[in-house]
Amino acid sequence: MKTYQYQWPPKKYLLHAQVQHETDETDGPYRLNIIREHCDGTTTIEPMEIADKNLRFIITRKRPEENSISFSYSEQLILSVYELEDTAFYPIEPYYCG
Amino acid sequence: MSIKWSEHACKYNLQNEWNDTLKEAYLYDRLSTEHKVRCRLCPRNCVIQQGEVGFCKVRKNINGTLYAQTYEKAAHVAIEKIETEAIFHYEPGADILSLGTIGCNLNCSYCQNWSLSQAEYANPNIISQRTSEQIVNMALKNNIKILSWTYSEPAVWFEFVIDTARLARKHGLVSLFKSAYFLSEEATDMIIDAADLFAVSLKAMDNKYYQTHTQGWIAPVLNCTKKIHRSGKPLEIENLIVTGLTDKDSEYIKIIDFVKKELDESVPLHFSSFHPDYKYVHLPQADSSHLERARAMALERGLQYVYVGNVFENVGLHSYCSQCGTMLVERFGLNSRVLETLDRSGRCVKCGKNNNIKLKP
Repeated sequence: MKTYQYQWPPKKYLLHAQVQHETDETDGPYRLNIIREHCDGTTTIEPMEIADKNLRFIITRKRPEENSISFSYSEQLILSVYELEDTAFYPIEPYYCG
Repeated sequence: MSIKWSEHACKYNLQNEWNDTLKEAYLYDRLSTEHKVRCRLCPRNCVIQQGEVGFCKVRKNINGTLYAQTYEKAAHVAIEKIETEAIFHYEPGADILSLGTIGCNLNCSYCQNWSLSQAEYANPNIISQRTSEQIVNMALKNNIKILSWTYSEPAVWFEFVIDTARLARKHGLVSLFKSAYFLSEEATDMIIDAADLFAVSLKAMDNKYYQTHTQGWIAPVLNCTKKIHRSGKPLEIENLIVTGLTDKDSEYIKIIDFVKKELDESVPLHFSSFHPDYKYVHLPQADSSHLERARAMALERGLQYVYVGNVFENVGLHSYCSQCGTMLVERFGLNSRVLETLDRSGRCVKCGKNNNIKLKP
């Protein structure tokens, strides 16, 4: 599994995450876990199954104590993370890709 | 990281690359002279010469026929929350499938999606081909009930929105149309018929402001908005507060009075903070104190549901009973939590007032 951790800056609340299969030939669905990490050391895990070859979705910070978010995902997936400056905003340059 | 606009930003010529899925426009006239056409989609009524495009840059005259070049061409597809669209009274917390294309019939100097809305700056590589069936299937597969036509101006892929919304309805989906509503009367009628809920981006209440900062004008926007309200379908209004331009009491009052007098005091109004982008990177982000002041003034003048937007921790994000003030929906960021004080029919449990909030099934 690949992993990527994003630390929420103080005034950031929104991300777009995009997952793409490396090839068009897919035996999906593939697994993606979103792990929310809180300042008291607790975590919550949100498992997702990605059936689409290319799926983009919003991730919102759920509470003030959430200080980072980690992605754990199948080797066959490429994850792009976009920071949103605003709602109804569609950035085209990823903050992270890997 | 974001792409910075400059006078020399990379320009593309899409007009010659987009001829594979043309769709004849629904609203235009053929003129008798030299294969010219007149587009009737928006109030500009662009008269377009053979081989040329209109103001929006994505509707092209080919041999005297007007074609929508954006048909089945998606530049943005994402699963988001309905709160993204400044819709707080329809299924709080619902997932939506947000869809956008490139092109716009306005040119707002602060547009946050300018690299898509202004077609000459849109990189063709971001475009993906999506049929109506594929979009409906994607929504169904991901258990999403709401299609949201948004980001840049959805009116410029009018034909695709209409066709997809009609198909979506057959599958039990609803369509949200978020627009600046700079539309012709007949386009408005068709959108009202095809879509189910409406988010109006009302830039200001001043015609000169529209002319200077959006290259449009205000009268058609207000007419469309009133028409949607008369249709009885769900409607929410968003006003973007731009630092130094619309962050004034006199501006807030004009918008508040429009909603109260021309629409209804129960229509939700959102005051949202602009962030510096496109040609207005020199202006600072609108401070939340302006949003809070505008909200307070609106409540004081009798509007029932007033919210702040593009801020994520604020009491102005929550929904309160307009009669007794009880909190009904709590929000943090774009997360909504419907409280036990709101019953399934949208009534306040404490006082019985119907607050017109439709909950998820």
